[in-house]
Amino acid sequence: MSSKNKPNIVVKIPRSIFKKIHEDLDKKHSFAFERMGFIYSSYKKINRQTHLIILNEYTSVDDENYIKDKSVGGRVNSTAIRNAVNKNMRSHKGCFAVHKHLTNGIPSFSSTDLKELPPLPQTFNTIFPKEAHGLLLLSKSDIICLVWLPNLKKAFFASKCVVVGNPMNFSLLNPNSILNERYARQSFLGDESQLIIENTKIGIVGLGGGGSHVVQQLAYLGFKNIVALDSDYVEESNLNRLVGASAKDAKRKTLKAQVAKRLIKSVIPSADAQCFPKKWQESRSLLEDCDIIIGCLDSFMTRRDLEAFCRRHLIPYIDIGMVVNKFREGFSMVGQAICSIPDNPCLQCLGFINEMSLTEEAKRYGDAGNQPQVVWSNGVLASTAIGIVVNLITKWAKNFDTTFYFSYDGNRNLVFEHPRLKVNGRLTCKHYPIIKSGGFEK
Amino acid sequence: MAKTYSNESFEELKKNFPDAFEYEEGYEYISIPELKLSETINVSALLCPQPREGYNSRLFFSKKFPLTEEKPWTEFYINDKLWYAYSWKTPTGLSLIQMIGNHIKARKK
Repeated sequence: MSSKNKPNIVVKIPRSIFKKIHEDLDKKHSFAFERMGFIYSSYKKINRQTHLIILNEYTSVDDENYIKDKSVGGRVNSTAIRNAVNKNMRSHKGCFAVHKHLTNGIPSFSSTDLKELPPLPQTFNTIFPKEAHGLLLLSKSDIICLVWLPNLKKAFFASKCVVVGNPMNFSLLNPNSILNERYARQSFLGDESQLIIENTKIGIVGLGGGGSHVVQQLAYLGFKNIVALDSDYVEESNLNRLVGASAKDAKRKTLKAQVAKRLIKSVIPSADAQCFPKKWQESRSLLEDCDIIIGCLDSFMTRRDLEAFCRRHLIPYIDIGMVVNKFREGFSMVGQAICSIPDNPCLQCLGFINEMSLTEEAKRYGDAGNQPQVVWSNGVLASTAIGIVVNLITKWAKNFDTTFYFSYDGNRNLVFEHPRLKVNGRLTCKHYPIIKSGGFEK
Repeated sequence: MAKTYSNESFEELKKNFPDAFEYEEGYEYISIPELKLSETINVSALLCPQPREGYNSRLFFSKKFPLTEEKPWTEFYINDKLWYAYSWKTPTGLSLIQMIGNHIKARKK
């Protein structure tokens, strides 16, 4: 493989497991200075260049399985390795040996690491050739990952390691950045915020009233990797709210995806805007390596399916939507912006999706109908979603470990935390156990 | 999630479909890699044996096939794949194998 065709390897790990690894590796051992553990993974080749690895199960090495060796910080015996192999035999997963250096920033493997550790993943690669294996090194803040892809002898460094949760952590190998005056007014988001924004891949499903606002704000913030999907074209009835669309677009039946692309490119000409007039179900490979997906959908069934997709691929899913109902003599306008983070309460846990709403919709064969929509409430909800995205990735508001479920009362122009959060916000999701993430068919 | 069917029911299904396996993604599922519907129609199927969308159970197919009566197909994303299902309500209290039989018969109704 030439350097030009160097694989783009994305590694994802849930925050709960990341925390568990740190806790385990930080434990003192009677003689070993460094501990080691094994983390198991699911692998998927997304396209010719991009590979996704999901790390979702960790096992520590028992104290008695360390051997005394003054030449290294820590060495494990053959039992520890045999246990890892046996576990793989049962689960058919990939395996990464993990240890930690007490440094800050992106860590580096020592020359001893690079001499002594590769035989481990190389062995795993021989026994389980359909999975990716490797070495994971943690520092106090970051991760670096050396990966042996299926059936390849040579190892490559992962270009991006993402800790998925609230907050998200990005360890970037060779980050691209166009730091300039344009983003000076948002520099309070953090020293590395623009770097993270530019290297975060965002998916948007649904480019109507809500989605078009989302696209616009992402572009102004400086997001350069955007996947936007909607199979519809612009109609006259969209022109009350579709940001970026003109009367000409309605006349010409311009695709909403084209409008989105035009909008993004007008703000950032160099952006990688992959906007396609397709249903998300038909373009799943475009979304698989996204860091966050924002759904601007009408139907509950589609939301549920998109959330399941996100959970499997360890992607936080942000759902926005609104409805206008007849209420007494007038109308009530309500909406929501919910962030469903893997390992945290899902849309079902939070009571937003339930069997009653799905049943009602199924009676109409999944057709949500033409809901009333207005530009300002679409804008409020899209802005709330963008606020969640920026919060998650830059950590500027230090609003960690919370579940984001905001309700919108359009009649009173209020956005507030949903009362159900008090009861359900800390639930462990039983619908999508983290261990079931990945699980890609080979 | 607590199982909504018995181990005996699953064992009975395995006798007919040895490759069947259980799966969980928001709901519980039983995957049947090969299901022969006729001489010419072979599909993979996914049974959801618990209530969802107002149905007592649902059977999803890996591809669409001609139905005797015009029924709309609905698309679903489950288990990393696109699946298709037609609308059919099974009665309550069926074993897993009975559920599958009931769904399959419905394509001709």
